[in-house]
Amino acid sequence: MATILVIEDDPETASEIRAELVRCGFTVGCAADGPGGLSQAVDGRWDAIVLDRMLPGLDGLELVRQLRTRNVTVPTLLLSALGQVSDRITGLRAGADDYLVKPFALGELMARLEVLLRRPSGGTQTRLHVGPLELDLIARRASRGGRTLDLLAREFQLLEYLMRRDGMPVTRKMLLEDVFGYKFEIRTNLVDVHIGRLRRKLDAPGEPPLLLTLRGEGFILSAPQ
Amino acid sequence: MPRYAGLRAVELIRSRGFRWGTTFAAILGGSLLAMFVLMFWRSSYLLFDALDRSVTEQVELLAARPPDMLVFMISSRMNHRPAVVTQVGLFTPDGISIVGDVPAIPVGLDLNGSVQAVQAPASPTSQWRAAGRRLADGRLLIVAREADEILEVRADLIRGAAAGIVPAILLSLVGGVLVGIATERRLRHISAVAERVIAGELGERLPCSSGDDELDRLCAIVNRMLERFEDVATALKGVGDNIAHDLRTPLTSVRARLERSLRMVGPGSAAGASIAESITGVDRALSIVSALLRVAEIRHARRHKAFVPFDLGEVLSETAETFRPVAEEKGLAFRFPPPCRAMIIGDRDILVEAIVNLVDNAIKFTPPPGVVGLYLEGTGEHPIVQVIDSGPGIAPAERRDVFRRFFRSDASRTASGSGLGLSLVAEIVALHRFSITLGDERPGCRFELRCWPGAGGPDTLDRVEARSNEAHGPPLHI
Ligand SMILES: Nc1ncnc2c1ncn2[C@@H]1O[C@H](COP(=O)(O)OP(=O)(O)OP(=O)(O)O)[C@@H](O)[C@H]1O
Ligand SMILES: [Mg+2]
Repeated sequence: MATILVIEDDPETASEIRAELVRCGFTVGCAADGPGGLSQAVDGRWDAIVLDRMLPGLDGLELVRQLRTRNVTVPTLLLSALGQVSDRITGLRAGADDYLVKPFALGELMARLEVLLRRPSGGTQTRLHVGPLELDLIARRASRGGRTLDLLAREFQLLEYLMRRDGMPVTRKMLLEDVFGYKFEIRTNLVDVHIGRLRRKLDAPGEPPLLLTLRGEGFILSAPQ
Repeated sequence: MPRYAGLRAVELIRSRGFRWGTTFAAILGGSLLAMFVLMFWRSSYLLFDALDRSVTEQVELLAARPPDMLVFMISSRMNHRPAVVTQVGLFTPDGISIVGDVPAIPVGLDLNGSVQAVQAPASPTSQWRAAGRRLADGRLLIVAREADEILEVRADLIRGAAAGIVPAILLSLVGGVLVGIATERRLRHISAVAERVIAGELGERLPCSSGDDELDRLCAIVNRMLERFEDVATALKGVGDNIAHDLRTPLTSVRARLERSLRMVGPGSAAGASIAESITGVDRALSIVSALLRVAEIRHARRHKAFVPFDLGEVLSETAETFRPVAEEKGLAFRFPPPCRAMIIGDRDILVEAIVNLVDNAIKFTPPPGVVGLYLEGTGEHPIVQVIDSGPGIAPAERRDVFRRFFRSDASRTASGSGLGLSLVAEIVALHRFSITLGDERPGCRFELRCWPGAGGPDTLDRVEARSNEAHGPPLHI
């Protein structure tokens, strides 16, 4: 199972994240400050690093930057109490792979970590396949088992995002941020509405469902066994 | 309307500074005039007095002489001319000249011995001071002196005064107006700053010139007051934000613990159900905390930090694309005529947030079957985003309140939400110096977002609050 390094100075948050990771079967290493975290991070045995943005000694952004200049490409997930869009952008620019604003649900963290660990299928493909589903990115055509799906632009984007992450949980927040481009919290059912419409188009009567709802966490698209 | 130094003439005349200036000019002119009148009156009195006295003296003197010597005396006096300036004449009781250089009795002369101003009988242009009396033997004695010189002096006095006083009054008037304009401009500057302070820009300070007049001292005092006020206001605002901030961590860890417990007991059990409910409650609290912090974040965002030009039409198209299914799913028609390009300058992500909040409200508060519309109106550099719905609308009395934090109208208590959406919108509008108006759609409501800087004057959220004691009524401009 994967090995994760958690660099977080707040002991309570650190122990919560650690407990959840252990529960999910990860091997976990911990550091409580910037320099300590950096010296552990460079040793190459981690599959992913979760780090706080504000750390004593060396801040999270700088830590990621130093990792990247030393050609350590391990996926990183920045945690931050700062929510500004521009902070998120600077975080990603520094080389972090994802950015999560506190407070977050642990399920959200796990979902993102899983995506990071499995690095979604590369952007160079022009055709995506998941079970009977096929997506032609150039012709912008979607089909299930030869039956063409009549999708709206948003639904197409949604399906592409899900297909690139097949078998992984995708949270509402991830969809809001990445598909709808909303970097802010929004309390509507809009993701569920779009997913519902997409699901109705994907599954003809009698066909096994491809797009499942995970209670409280989000959605998962996977090929039927 | 003619303008002078940026002031309209009417405003200038009404201004206090101008009134002080003109009052000063009036007082100066009035006292100059009074002084002149006194001087004029006094000097002509003195000049005439000397003349009149000599006339009276002569009359007395001659009248006291024996009557038979009079003819001789008068004719011998006449031989001393031109040293003698007094003219004397003796007449028969019926007015025929006997002797002397008064050719005839001046018209209108009362023969009572008093000195009077009369026309000289020989030349109509000449003025005399004359006195006459009837002697004991019935003959008439007239003594007169030419007053032309005195009149000349008096006319000179008036001319001189006019040459001095009129320019003096004019000068003081001009001075008054100038002082008035200067004072008025300063007051105007001060009141403009004060206006901005009222509008919520507590960082503004009154201008203090290097001088040390009353106005400067007053400005300095007001500035010290503003400083204290700003400190208190910042501290107050911070309290709420800090509480929200401090709540985040404990709430997050409570949630994590609940999640863990839920996993232990399993979601199927009764305990599991109640834990799931608690998680929903904590999530609600967390989302309120996040929304509050978001409002604070935008309030404190540096203006123009992330401002770039972008196409508002494109933003609306994307929003419509995202929200049309949401509206339709609820049984509402969604109207969105394809918009034209409308480039504006702002923080795109934040403006999207504002528009999304408006559209979200429109869909949330409109019961099916109904209509929600998103329109791009206005022209060129003045685009207006309209969000219209056919829902219950917002009562005029509440149109101001809906932009306040936590306000939810009684009618909408059953809908989800915490009443923070529109306060966020108001902050976003203020950040961009745009304006938002709220009107009636009968039924329903219409939000209009005017997307150009200065669309509503120097607008901030506090302006809404500062105006809250004004009369209610549409449309509301923030
Ligand atoms: N389109 C609308 N029609 C009728 N009432 C509205 C509309 N928009 C807003 N309101 C009223 O204004 C109140 C405040 O709106 P606001 O968006 O600030 O809060 P909310 O929608 O209740 O909660 P939140 O946006 O935080 O989820 C609402 O509760 C509602 O009473
Ligand atoms: Mg709202």
